[in-house]
Parts: sequence; structure tokens; C-alpha cells
Amino acid sequence: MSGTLRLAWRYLTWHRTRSLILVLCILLTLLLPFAVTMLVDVYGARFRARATATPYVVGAPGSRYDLVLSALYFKGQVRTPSTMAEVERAGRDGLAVVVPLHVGSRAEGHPLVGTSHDYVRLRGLRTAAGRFAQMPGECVLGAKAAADLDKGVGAKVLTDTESVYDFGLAYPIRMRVVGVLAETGTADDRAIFTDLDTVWIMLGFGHGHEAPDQIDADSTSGVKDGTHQLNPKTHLYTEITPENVDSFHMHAEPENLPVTAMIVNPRDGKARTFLKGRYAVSKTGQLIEPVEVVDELLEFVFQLKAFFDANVVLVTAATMLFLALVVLLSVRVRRAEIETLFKIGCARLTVFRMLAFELAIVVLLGAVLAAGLAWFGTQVLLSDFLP
Amino acid sequence: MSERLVDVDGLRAGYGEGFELHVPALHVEAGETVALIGPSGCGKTTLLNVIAGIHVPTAGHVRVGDLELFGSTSRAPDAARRRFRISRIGLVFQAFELLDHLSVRENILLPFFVNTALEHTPAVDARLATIAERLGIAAYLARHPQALSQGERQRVAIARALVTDPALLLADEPTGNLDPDTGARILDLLFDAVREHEATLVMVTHDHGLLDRFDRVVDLMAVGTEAA
Repeated sequence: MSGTLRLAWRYLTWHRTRSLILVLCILLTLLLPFAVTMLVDVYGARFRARATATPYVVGAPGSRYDLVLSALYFKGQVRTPSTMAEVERAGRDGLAVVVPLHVGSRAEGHPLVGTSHDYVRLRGLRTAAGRFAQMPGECVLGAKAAADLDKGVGAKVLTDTESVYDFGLAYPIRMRVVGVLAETGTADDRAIFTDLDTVWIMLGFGHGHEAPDQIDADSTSGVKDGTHQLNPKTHLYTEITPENVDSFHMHAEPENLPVTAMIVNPRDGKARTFLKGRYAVSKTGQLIEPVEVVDELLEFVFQLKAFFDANVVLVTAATMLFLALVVLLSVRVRRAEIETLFKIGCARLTVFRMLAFELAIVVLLGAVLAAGLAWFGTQVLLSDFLP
Repeated sequence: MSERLVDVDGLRAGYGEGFELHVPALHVEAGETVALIGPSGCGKTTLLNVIAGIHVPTAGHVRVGDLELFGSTSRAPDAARRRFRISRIGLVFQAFELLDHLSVRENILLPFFVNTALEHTPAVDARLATIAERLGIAAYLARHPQALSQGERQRVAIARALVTDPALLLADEPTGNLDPDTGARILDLLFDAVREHEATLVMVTHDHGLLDRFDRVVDLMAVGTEAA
């Protein structure tokens, strides 16, 4: 360690409280900018990676943002759902692989995604345990969902009731967990996947044929005194089992059954052009390139961040002025010490270097701690953020 | 025959317009111990600062050893004077001027931290150990100055002045802040150290009871200080 650096370090460690306060000033000034920058960078990269891995999204006319956020990240809700007729239209002439999605419902707090096996192929999903769903009433848990719920293969998962007092709606579905997905680092980890039939039954588009008045005292409800009443002792859910699955059917035309979006993967460049042309004039659907929408969203985020950065510059400048004031006061307080150094043969430049080292150590320590804390905080936040 | 270490001729030095020190001639032989006396404000400390190359005189010639600090028409550059001061001159101050945030050991080695003209070698550490032993502060090397008595602090200051093995020791009332007994002991140590290191001592003092111990006493008023 050079003599000047040693003197600077000794001064800082001797005046611990003063040094700590200065380091904290730097830390608090830089923590938020570092954290925001890291978060925006990582969020942006992950957001974009998911979008880039999704060729096209088709959905009903409406908000492009809602459609993409729902189809890719299982966030929010699509106000106007599309239908299976649109799925047929998108895939007509074999132009593309069309993966229908129904997103917006939840099961035990996690996004419930109704889809087909093509989704598994498109995303390259694989199971860490069990298998993929093969019949209505079965579901597969994303890795984080399984960990959060502490459930695995053989467990049961109940879909969330959107209106528990609206008995006109169908009951929640109690699904059997038949598999757990390997971790992907995407929104798939937090989701629970089932087939579309299960979602449609949950939404009331289909049901099993068990007459309520045949339900005994241990069942969910029945007819008593001529009115349909719930049995308060029973669980309010429907379970689709291999034994009763054949009794379930839809009470809607197949083409009218709802999907919130579909992921469309064109067969080739020519098919892509045809699809774009088809949806350029469509009144029933819109074809969206997710990466364009995500870039628009990120641009908005970066514009906001620019204002934030400008504020950071001002706050940092204020902190630096404060530090300069502390150094100036310090020089006054340390006049005798500095005079002694001059007298014994120290150059003014050496004294300046010593003070600069002190400042540099404080700034460096504050910055390193801020970066470390920002990194740690970012990791914690990112563990809950899976685009 | 001893050689001359300090030559001062026709010196004029002052601060602003209120004071001017005038020393027509002052010569100090190598190995000599010289006491500078005179009333407060007569310029004793100024003279020490000029000899150390700290204070730039307005006129006159000052040479220490083989370096002409201030000539009649030129003067040694500041960097050269600093290098010379830190390597050839030891300074002892009345207020000790130790740095609280450094240990006693680091305070003694301070000259080696602030100027690259000095190289911190194992030989320096050995010399430090010997000096600390002689001055009775070997047990305190890891402590900080505020844990020491006034007398102990001045011993540390003397050790700092001696650690570079200087040819010339300039002491500005080193016992001024000490009680008589402690002052006498410190002075014994200082004289012993000067003899042992074959150094030259120029010391400012107000204590006329100490003057017998010096080879020579220079009364600055008699030499010729002028009030402007």
C-alpha cells in the first residue's frame, strides 16, 4: 500500500462514524439508480426474449398490449375473447401451427392456462416429474407454481372461483396434478396448464350430466322442497375423473367456444406473407408481432427512465457538492495536520492526493455497496418476475 | 576540524509589513548544539523555518550542508528543498504535531509515507526499533498518540525527527508544553540522541536554565532583529 493511500485509509478508519455516514450518503444516492438500471436491463432482456420466441399472436380486435401481455406473460385480461372459429381461420390451408390459449382464470392464485399440446412443442417444455395432461381434469404445474403450492404429481388443485356467490355459474374444477414442468425462467414457471375443455367446463360452457336431485346428502347440491339448494356440508367444486369424463359435454357450438389468444407459427416465409395479408383485412381478428409491441412498451419504459436518470444526475450532483463541502471543511479542521505534513517535507500535491484517495475510497465503497445491494435486490425481485 | 553545516548571511525574512527578521550572519558547525534565545516574536521560529527551507526569505543567503537553499539571486526549487528537508533535517515542534489517526509506529514513519525521496526499507524498521528502545517508547508503538502522556508524545515526535537519520535537528521549544521534570528528561533524551547520531542541533528555547547544556547560545536580539 502506498504511503498516501495508507494515510487516507487510516484517517477513514479512525473517523469511522464520519466515514460511514459519507459511505451511506453515496450508497443511498446510487442504490436506486443502480437497482432501476439493473432491473430495467434484465426485465427488458427477459421481456424481449419471450417476445422474440413467439412468432405471432392472433386475437380479437382490441388492445394489442392486453393481447400480448396476456398471451405471452399471462398478465391481465383480454376484454374481448376470440373464438375457436378464429383458431380454425388462422390455421386454414395449413399455413401455420396455431396454438389456442385461454388465459385469465386462476387456480389457487396462479395463472391457469388452457391450451393444447402444441404449446408444449412451441415452448420446448418438458416435465421434471410426471407427464403432460391427456384428458380434461388433469393439469401440469409450472416449476415455481409447484414450489409455491408445495404440490406435485398426484395432488389436487382447485380453480379459483371468480364469483363464489353466483350459483348460476359452474363450480370450480378440482384438477389432478399429473406433471410438474422443468424450470424455464419464464412465465410458464408460475402457470398451471390444463386443456381447453377443462377451462371451458370451469367457465360454464360445459358440464357433466349428473341430475342435481339425484345427488345424495354428501353431494354438493340438490333439489329440496322444489328448489335447487346447496348442501352446506359439501365442497363446492366439480371433479372430472376417468369415470365421469364421458358425461361431460359442451353446451355451446364448438366454433363459439372462447379463447383469449392464439400463438401462430407460420409454416414458412410465404405462409407468413399470406397470414399477414389475411389479417390485414380481417374484421374478426388481428395478427400481432409480439416483439414490436414489447419494443413499444420498453420504449415507453426507457422514456420514463430517461426522466428518472435526469433526476439521478441532479441528486448525484447535490451529493457530490455535499461531499465537496465536507472535504473543504475537513481541510479547515485538519489545517494543523496538513501544516505538519508540509513542514516535514510533504508536497501540496501529495496532500491533495491523500484527500482525493479518501474521497475515492468513500465513493468507491458506497458505489460497490450500492451495486451489491442493488444486485441482491434485483435478484430477489427477479425471482418473482418471470416473463 | 569540523565542517560548517549551516551558513546564514545577510538574512532578511518577514511576514507582511509588520515584522522583519534580520540576521547578518549565523554559522553552525556540524555536531554543534546551538540554543536560539530571544523574546517572543523576535523571529526564532521564523529563523528555524528559513533554515528548514519552509519560509522563503526576502533577502540573504542560506546554505545547509551542500544545498544552497536561498542564494543572493536564486533559490533551490520547492521540490528540492522538500526532498532535502525530509531526508536531511529532523523537525521537533512544541505541540508535537502527531497525527491521532496513526499509530505511534506510523507517526514515526510518517516522513516515509509522504515523500518518495525516502525509501522504507528493513533498515529503517531496525533504526525505528533502536530509536524507540532508546527513547523508551518501544512498548507503545501500536498505540495511538492520544493514549500517551505529553512526555511520551514528545518522545514520539523526537523519534519521528530522528528516524530519517538527519544531519540537522531543528527543535522549536520541544519542552515548552512539558512540566520541568518531564522537560528535563526529554532534553536528556534529545541530547543523547543528537550525540549518538552525530547530528547537529539548533533549538529554540525560552528556558535559560538549559543553556549550559548547549555548545553555543545565540541571542537573536543581539544578532540583530529589526522591527519594521
